[in-house]
Amino acid sequence: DDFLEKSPKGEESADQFYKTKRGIDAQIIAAYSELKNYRYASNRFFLGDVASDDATKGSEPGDFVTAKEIEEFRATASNFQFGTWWWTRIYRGIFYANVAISNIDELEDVTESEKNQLLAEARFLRAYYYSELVRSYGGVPLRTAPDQPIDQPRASAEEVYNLIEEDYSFAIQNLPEKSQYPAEDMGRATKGAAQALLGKVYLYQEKWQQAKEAFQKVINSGEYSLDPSYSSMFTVAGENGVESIFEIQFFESESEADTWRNGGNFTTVFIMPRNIWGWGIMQPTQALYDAYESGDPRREATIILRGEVIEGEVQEGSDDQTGLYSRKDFLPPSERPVLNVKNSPLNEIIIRLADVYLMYAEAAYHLGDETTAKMYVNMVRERARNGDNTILPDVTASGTALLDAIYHERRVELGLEHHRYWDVIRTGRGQELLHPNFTPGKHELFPIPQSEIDASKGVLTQNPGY
Amino acid sequence: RVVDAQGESIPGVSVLEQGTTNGVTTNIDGTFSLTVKKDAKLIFSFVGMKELVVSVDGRNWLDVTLEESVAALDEIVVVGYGVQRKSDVTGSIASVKSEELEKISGASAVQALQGQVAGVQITSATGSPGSAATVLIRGRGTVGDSSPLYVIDGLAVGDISFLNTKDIQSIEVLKDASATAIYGARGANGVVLITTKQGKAGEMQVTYDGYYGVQSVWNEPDLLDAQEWIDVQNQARANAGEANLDLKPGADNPNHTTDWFDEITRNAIVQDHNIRISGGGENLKATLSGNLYDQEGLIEGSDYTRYSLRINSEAKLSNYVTVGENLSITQSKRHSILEGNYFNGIVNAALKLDPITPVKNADDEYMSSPYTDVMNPVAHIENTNDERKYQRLVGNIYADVKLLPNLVYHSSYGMDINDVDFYDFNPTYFYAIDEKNEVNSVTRSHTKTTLWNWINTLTYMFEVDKHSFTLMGGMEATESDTEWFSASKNNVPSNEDYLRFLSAALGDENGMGTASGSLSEWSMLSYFGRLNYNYDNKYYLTANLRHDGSSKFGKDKRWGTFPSVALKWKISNETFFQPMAENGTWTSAALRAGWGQVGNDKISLYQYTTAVSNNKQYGYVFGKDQRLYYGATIEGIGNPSIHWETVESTNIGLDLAFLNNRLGVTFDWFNKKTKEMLLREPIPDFVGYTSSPYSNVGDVENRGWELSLNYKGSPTDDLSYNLGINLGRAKTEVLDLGEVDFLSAGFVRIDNATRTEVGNEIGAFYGYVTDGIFQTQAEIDSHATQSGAQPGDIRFKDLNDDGKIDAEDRTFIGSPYPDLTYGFNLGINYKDFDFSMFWQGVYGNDLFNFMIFETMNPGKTTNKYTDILDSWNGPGTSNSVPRLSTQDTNDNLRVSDRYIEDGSYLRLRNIQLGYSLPVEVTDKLRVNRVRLYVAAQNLFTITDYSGLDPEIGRYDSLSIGIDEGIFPHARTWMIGANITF
Repeated sequence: DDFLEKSPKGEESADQFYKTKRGIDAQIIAAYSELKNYRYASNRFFLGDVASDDATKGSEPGDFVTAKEIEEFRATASNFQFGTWWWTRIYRGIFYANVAISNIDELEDVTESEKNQLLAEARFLRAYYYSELVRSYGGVPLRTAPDQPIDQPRASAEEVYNLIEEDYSFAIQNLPEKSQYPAEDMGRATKGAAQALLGKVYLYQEKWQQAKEAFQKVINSGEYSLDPSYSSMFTVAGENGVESIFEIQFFESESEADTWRNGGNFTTVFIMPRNIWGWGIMQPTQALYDAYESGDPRREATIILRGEVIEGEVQEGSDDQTGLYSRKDFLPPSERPVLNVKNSPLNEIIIRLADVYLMYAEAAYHLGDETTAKMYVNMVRERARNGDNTILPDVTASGTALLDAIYHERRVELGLEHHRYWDVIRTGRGQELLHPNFTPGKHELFPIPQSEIDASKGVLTQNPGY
Repeated sequence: RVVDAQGESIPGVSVLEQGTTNGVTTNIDGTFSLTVKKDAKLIFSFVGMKELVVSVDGRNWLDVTLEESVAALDEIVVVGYGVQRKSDVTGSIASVKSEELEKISGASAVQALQGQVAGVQITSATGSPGSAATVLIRGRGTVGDSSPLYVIDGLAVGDISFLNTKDIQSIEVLKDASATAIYGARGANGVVLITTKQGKAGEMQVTYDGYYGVQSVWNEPDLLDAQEWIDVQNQARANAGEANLDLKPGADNPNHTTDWFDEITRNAIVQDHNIRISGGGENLKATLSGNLYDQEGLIEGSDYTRYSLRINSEAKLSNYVTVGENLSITQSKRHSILEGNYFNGIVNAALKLDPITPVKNADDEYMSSPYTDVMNPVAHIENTNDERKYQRLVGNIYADVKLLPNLVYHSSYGMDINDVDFYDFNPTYFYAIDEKNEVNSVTRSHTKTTLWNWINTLTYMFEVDKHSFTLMGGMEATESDTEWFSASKNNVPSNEDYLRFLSAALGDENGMGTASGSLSEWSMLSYFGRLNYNYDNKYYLTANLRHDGSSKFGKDKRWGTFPSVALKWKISNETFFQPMAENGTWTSAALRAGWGQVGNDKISLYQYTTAVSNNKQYGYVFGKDQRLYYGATIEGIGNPSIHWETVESTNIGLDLAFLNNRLGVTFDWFNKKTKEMLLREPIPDFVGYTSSPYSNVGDVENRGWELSLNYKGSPTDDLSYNLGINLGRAKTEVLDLGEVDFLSAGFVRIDNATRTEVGNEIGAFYGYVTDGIFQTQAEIDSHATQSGAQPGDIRFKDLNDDGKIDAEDRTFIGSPYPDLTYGFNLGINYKDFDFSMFWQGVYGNDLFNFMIFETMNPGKTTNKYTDILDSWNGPGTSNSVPRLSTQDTNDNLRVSDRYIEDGSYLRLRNIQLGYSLPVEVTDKLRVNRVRLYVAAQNLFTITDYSGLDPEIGRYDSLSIGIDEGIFPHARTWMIGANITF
């Protein structure tokens, strides 16, 4: 029988690999790597912006038609290609995190606190991935180990949130602060990121008090401050800056044009004007353009107008739908990777201090603390004002006008950073603001992919209305 | 001395004393000597000759004349680990001789086999020179790999692309389990046994065979011209309330139409030259052959060249020991173009690219279309430099030792060494900002597969009265390893030819390139045995048993046992049949029945284990300096309990001959059931696996029949003719998929085109059913709710009658499998002329013409079929082509029967007219024989299919017959010669 014993060569065996710290480290890196996968990352704007009133699909009508279905709320369980990508990639990230989580205990020659830090990093990522799922689908199958049976029904949204809260809480206790990481680890999950994102899931559950407390800790940590230059946060030079709490670390993998092995930010190729090496997808709407108060410098920092000349290159696409393009994922000609546009190294911010300020303001508002609410909105406006006192006067409103002001500030401050759709849905304004096809009671959640229901041996149930 | 009817001596005739194992073979001059009893009877037998029994009657010199057997009924056929007289064969085995194979031009023997054997469906993957073909024997029995096992002179090999067709003596196709069970775990998909030409004792012969041909396009796409394209685009835009197309300078001349298909195709040369030297004496026979095959592709940039050399020889060391060898060395080279997929590919681009963009601009630089992001295929070909070089050594050495007069030990050791060398250079170019490559790169990779195989068998023959027994037992061991490595480096200083090497590349900023590699191994150990028994040449029994162990499966699932049994009743050897045989109308009849179990182990290696993948995609960077951290993960969890699929098959056959063997009829009925099929059970994506593990799930049944008829006639001495027809039908039904509802496959950008479900075929087309075009709003209102529909849009059927059109209204809309595959040939010889025709076809299959998604899509700026000019533009204007609009709110292009077309075709594969120079002339030229011929291949194809070619061999088992813009087959005109010196 020795003759028939042929084990894989040049591949580590799972049994041995996860007994080493090297193995667990690599597994946690794999769990991070899903953040940069284009099928996850591009959906951040397809869902976050194209589905909202801030952007339209763009490009020629026949290209990425499935994105039109998102925009016009025509997505069904079986035609929703981006939904399948979104669901699949997020669950990959959860699987990779779970493989790490379930093996860390077996580690030898590692101290308890080192183990806890590894576990905290993996649980942070798992919580983040679940937070994306729960706001998209409500309750979903709760995978907490890599080898659970496949006929697993959906947990309730509450159960999902409970797991997220536990994971983030564990992360908060066991992760270092941003400043405690050595320079070469800048970008890893931090205590502050876990606090900020925990606050965000409380906000989504309208647990205002807990949200406020979580945000308070981030604000008081002294780890973060508003970046004096708003526009620089969306450039390669401004990556992981003073305001950044957690961002996706894209990089220019020099030799890789391949879609899968690539480490670049595909959103750049999606959003740049068609035939100027982009695909012209996700064009900002006139409505977003008009939402900016007059003179708000953030408009120019967010939107490129057709015909603008950047480093000698005229920004004009062959299948232009609105005449507007996003600047937040744009790379000027001099910074573009030579090999392939898909290799864009430009990071994307998942959460930054201004976002926390505005969520903090919103929580404070709901707790009746209008003074604090106004104070934090105005801090954001002050930074945007950049010393020009003729623009963006302080917010003085109160009551619902104040809430509207907070919402408005979120829209313009975080414009085209893929928050808008979720904010509109979270605050119950879908019917008011989104495409006329939006049906309340249905479109707050996306359909579970039909293929998932089919493969689940009938255990998964669909969201209402689909 | 043994001679033939012409008085020529016959060497190699077997002479056996009847009732004993005492025998010899004749010498080069046909003589023999054998010590026997005075009253002994001698049996003389030789391939192609009638067996003759002669009484010695005390003589010590015999003159024996053997007659040629009229039909091929008593020829020798090759079976697993041995040979049999055809009349002794109990299983379903079809035999194709060299003459039939040699008529077809093509690089591969598989192509030559197409249409020749009933029940064997062969589809070339594409028309690209050197491309592979899909071979299905008796239908598709599994959702996995259903390709047969190839065995060349006893050595099992993965593919036979290296083989020169002219070296083949015969191909035997073992179709049923009773014939393939001796190949056990590898026999499930049928076995193709190839025997190469051996040296013949006698005068040395030198032959030349060759032809020269020109290939051309036989079918062109019907696409719009420039002005029509502009009109269609503008109309579609106007109908959606959009402005006219913006014509771009340099690509705005409506009077110039670029015919992209014409730009990429050419008249291409094909040539094939063979020289064979053959000869030998009593103790040593050998043949040496050399071949050059050289084919340009119909599409620019593609070609295939092959040089091969073969030496087969056999030496008789003594009366007890014979040793020999079969050895071939092949060198080939292939350039291929991007055939791609539904999204990208040369033909695909040539059909899609707008006709208004010129190939090159006024400055003689390639143009990139400013209207669409389809690449310029001419430029792409120009920039394609990939080259594959193959070196293959396949051969075995063997020895036969007569341990006792009736006990033979055979041992053979074979090797298959396959070297594939890949080169690619990706130059820098710039046609437009979105069609450019700013960093050039050079890639070299190398794959080497080494396989060895050792076979030992013992064969024991004996007779007791009228009972005749042959017992064979043996063992076989095989081991194979494949190592691959690849290196790639960027930044070659320029695109100059002499710099396109790794040594010139500068690499990244650290001077580095990338390297990767892998090693995979498998092995197999087998024991097998066979009993052949017959009683009085009337009742036959064959029983096989094989016990196989394979490294592809986990420790506990490694071994399997595969039995088979077959019976035959040779009715014509019964006394009651004799009157019929004697009057000649009904010459012979035999009834066969067989049953067996065989296996299919064709899955990728190491599926029973869980390995860690460190693919680049799992890496991630941190820090300002963007340090890349190593990432790795398992991608799923292996299934240690997988084992082979088991195929159980039953075969009933009938062999009949009429009219003194002029008419031969073979009929077979079969039922083959694949059990515990190996498949990747679809698991929900939320589990997080990249691909689901294999498990043994599900059953598939194949049922069908095969019929072949051969008729030979020679009404006068000058005229003879033969006619052959073969028909086959194999119907597949999925009986069980375990807990799986269905398998979806064939992703074509919008959706999956096929579904595999219990009660249907494997990979049947699945989608909506169209019901004409909505002519008025009233028709839409009275129809089930179809969201987004407007007059002029396609009406889809509400199949479940629930008042709305949704995914539940999809159904099976077509079958990629033919109801019938067939071939027929006609050969006529008249005096010095010979004429032959060979037709091949399939009937009743459907094709999925995916190109419609691009070429009938008004929302895209791609080129269109002229059919779009008949678009609906008001009530009554069209009931098949929807309205022109860039806004397709109705989703007219969803997967529906709109894409389904009848894929039946009948193709004149070969037509040939030859002339052999008369003896007076050849004598003067001092040659034995000169035959000159003209031939045409694929002269006609009769089909209703609207795409470029109905032969579509996409070979993903769950999705065949999808046309994504394939490389079409060529029509070839040839002149050739056969000369024997």
